[in-house]
Amino acid sequence: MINLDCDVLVIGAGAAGSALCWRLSHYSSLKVICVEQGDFTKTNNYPTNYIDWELRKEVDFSTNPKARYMLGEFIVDDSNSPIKTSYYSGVGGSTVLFSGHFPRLHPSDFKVKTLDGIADDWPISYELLEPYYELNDKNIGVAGLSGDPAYPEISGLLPPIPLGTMGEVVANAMNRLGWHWWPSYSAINTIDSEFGSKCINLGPCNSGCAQGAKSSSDQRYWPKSLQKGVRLITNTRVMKLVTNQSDLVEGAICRNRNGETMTISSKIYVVAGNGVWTPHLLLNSACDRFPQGLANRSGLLGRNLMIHPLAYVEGVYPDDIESSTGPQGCCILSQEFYETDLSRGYFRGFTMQVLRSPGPLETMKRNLTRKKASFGSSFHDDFIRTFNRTIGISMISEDLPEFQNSVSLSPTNDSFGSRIPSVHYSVGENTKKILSHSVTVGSQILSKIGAADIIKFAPVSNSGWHLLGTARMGLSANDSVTNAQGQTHDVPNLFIADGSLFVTSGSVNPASTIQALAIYIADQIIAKFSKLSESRLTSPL
Amino acid sequence: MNHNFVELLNFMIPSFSEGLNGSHVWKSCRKSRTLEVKFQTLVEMGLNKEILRELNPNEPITGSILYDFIQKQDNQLLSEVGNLLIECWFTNSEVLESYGIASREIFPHGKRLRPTDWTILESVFLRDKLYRE
Repeated sequence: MINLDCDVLVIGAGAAGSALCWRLSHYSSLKVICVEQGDFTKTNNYPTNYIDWELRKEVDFSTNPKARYMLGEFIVDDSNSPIKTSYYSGVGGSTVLFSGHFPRLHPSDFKVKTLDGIADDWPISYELLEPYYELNDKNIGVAGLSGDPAYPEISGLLPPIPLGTMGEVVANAMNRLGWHWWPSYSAINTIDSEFGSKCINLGPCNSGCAQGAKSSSDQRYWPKSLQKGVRLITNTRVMKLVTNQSDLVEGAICRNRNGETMTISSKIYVVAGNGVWTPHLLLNSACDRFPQGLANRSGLLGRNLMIHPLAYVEGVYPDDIESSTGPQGCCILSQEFYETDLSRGYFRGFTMQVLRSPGPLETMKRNLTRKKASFGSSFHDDFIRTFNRTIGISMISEDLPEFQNSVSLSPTNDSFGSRIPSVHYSVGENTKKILSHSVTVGSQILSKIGAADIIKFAPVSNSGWHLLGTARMGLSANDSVTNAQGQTHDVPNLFIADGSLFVTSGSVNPASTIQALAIYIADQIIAKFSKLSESRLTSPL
Repeated sequence: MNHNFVELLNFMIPSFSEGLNGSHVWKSCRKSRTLEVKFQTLVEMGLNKEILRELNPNEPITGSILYDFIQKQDNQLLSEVGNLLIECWFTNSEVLESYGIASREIFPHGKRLRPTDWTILESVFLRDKLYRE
């Protein structure tokens, strides 16, 4: 058996783990190891390198993990959820396939209990996290425009992605409605710069960016961290964390693809597997002193899962508006209905994300499924009538924490011999009201535009990317899993640094906040363990 | 290729084998073999023999008749064939070009979005803050 040791062991090389490792790499003489169950992804394998990219993206780079065949991919039993989980296992994690939509939470998201009397407040504020948002933005390269009335000032942005004809059509409709809209905050490089080549509008960001313009964590963070000495062990899964009688983790038992076992001993352990994998590992690490799962004396580990149910509306514009040109998920966002307005009949709200339309194959597949096209004499006309004319709007609803929405262990074992995670989720009553209203609002925009063939539905089934809240942070050990620094209440040398810390979900894509949190937690770890290898910060915040 | 199958494909996507050089579409498609296997299933269910006898012998067997017939017999199978067919169709460079869509791989050429005149944002920019603190 191989035995390794380090100062900080980070588990997971995705959005959170990559940002955290980058920050830790600035502390000289700190020995950091990161273990990732997947592999590096090669950009020349991305579908957009090939003429049949639409076929390829449905297999190896499908956003549906069950459609992919990848070693290291882990399986989730989500049969008890109307919304199926989506994720990508590999270096960079789900940022490899994310759309790059990169808005921040709002200040109000951190104090929902205080402002609205529901859910809970975070133990940290927007103001505390703001410098970490800025630092992460600087590393990632975020395109957008300053001056958005929906946010406190955000500066240092790269030029925004052009709206394109479709975006302008939607923007004009929003202006006529008098509603907020703004060019998307996009983790996409829009100029040739230190980040590499600029975006060339390949379109399907969610099958990997062959250009390397999308700021997935494998592209932006890992090269820097590796250069600074962080050791990344891929294709290896941490099976269990082992604790001693002092309630300290003393080792991580890992297994690689070849079945070889490895033990890594560290002073500090940081789990960065996000809302499903983090509780999964800790639940699988149950022992005599923690029979309900490691760091789970509160009983909240795996609870309060928030998924951000999506609503979707789509319509067809009369003219060709080149709607398939440009980054698919990054065009316009609207936060007209983000904050609580009780006259609407629910708490909190939703963000609208205007989407560019898919390629020709997916356009026609959707058309056939939705009876907007048929085989036979009208086939070609149906295609021409819809391709490059279709406008989609997704509405991300705020999901409130609900105890019964959870990640637990399934009786089923995976190929590594560990019990797979099981997701139990149902859409809450408040969220249902948000979804219902958001569909109405989205349809209003399409009607204003003059779009035809409007379809609408909610929740969207295969949209469970935002897996949040299952190891919430808080001030008390009774009602949270970690403290305000991401340190678990029960196990002093165990930290969590990912979306599972979210107390409430807001209604925006969470990647920006997850990474800002991870960098913040890296600094908290060093502050708490200042004698750790006599580290010193070589790159002050 | 089986004549009836060609009839069926040409009905589903008009001019599949003619106007847009269907054989080329066929050869270039990585799913064509799967599609042929599906068609074998159709053959095995008697498309060419017993079942066809149930059709009006005086009426020529057109793609339209076959389509309606298979739909009644096994809609799931027809749906799978349809899916494979459009996968072959919309991943063919000549087909895409015929619709006016660039035939080449989108990387490294990319596409162009014209610059936006951001004065379109003026009315939103002038609004009071929308967020709460």
